[in-house]
Amino acid sequence: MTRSNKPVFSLSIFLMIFGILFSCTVLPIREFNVYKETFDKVRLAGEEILLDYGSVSTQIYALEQQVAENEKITVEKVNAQRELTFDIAKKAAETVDTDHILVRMRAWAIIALYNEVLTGLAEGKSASEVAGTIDSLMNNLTGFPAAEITDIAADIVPYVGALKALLETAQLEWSRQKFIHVVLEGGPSIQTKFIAFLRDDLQNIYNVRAALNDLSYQQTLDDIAALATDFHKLANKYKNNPEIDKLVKLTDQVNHLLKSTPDYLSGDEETDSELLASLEGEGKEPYSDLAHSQLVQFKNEIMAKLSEAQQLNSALGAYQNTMLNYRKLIDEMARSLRNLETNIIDAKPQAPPAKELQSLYIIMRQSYETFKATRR
Amino acid sequence: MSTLTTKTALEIYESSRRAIDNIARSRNSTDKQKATAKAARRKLVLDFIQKQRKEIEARTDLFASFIIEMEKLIKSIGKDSPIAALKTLDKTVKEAKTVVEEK
Repeated sequence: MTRSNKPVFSLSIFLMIFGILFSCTVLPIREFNVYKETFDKVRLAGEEILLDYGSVSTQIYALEQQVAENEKITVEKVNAQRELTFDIAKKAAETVDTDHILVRMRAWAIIALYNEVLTGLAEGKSASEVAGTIDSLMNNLTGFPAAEITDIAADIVPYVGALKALLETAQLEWSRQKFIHVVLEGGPSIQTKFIAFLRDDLQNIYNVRAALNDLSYQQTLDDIAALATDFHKLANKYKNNPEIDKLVKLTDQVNHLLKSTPDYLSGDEETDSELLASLEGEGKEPYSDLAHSQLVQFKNEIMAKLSEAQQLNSALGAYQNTMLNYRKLIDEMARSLRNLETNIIDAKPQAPPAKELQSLYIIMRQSYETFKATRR
Repeated sequence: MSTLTTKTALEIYESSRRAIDNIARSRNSTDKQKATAKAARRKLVLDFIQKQRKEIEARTDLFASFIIEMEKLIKSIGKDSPIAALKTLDKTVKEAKTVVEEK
């Protein structure tokens, strides 16, 4: 390139870059902010649920030990402890330790990073690096140990200000268009994969907690049934006497408590009759105050156990609410992301704001004056 | 897909559990029958939980693949930007300057 046509070359670059600026990309910032805020809420809830799921492993281990103790020892099971045929590759693959919760936490983290990158693009943060990079480039060019290069550098120096302004604007526009591209590329993956996986996970995680809660609940009902049996046995020792009304009333109270306990009765009359207290048989012993207080004691113990059962019931109900609310948050996140994608697709390029154009015009004008002066 | 499967699994679990509960609580069951029923209930619950855990663990690979996909996308951002081109040019000039100065 000869010295005489370098300024023409520079001006043509300016005009080409300026041409980019006639269509300015406007981003749906409001929709993006809504999506980010929703994501943050869902992430917080999601990670708590994951940690809670992780915390049940102790209970599951204890259950495994109990079941193992009750397992029938068979010749096959004992012999299976010594495996002569041993597939090393298969066993190595099977015994890889995967932290299933950590992987899910990482998935949350990678989307958070993706959102951060999008924020940087939306805010055009990289545009602020342009001036510094141009300065570094100019320093390297002007200090180059070759006359041809330093000559070119000297020609560019008067236009560096305009070059910085134009490249900053070009970088800003690139950022905006990249934002659109990244949302449209990453968004569908987040919807069809991450969000879908979260929804599937939810039912499994709930089922684990529900099953453990149910086991404790059923064991509490077993205790209640044992107390009801003791009550029944004791009550049936006493024959008819004037105090029998007190006994009947007490028996009715106990049965009322048992009938109002979820899951205690099955609805089958024959089966349920074996779970309720009833007064039957001859009952030869006199009904004393001591007998009555013993039976009241059984009733109180049944009530205490019922309170435990109710707490377990409440805990399950609370967990169900948590999962339901979490599911609703996930759906909200999906909706906000879909809304962002729709707004991006529908957005049309617009003319740049007047303020942006005016400052550029001033810089361009100054550069053009410099260009005219150097041509003379 | 798996939501339907796990719902059905829950229904099967519940109906099996009810049959066990009746034996475990009935006053006509012997102590041995009650103990056997309670052990069967623990096994039923454990089998159900382990099925859920297997489904969760199978899904972990899917999460891992998703992470790799997103990492690739994030890494690719910025490579074709004006500032990236400028920085590459600056680096090239700097390296060339060093080479020429050494000669």
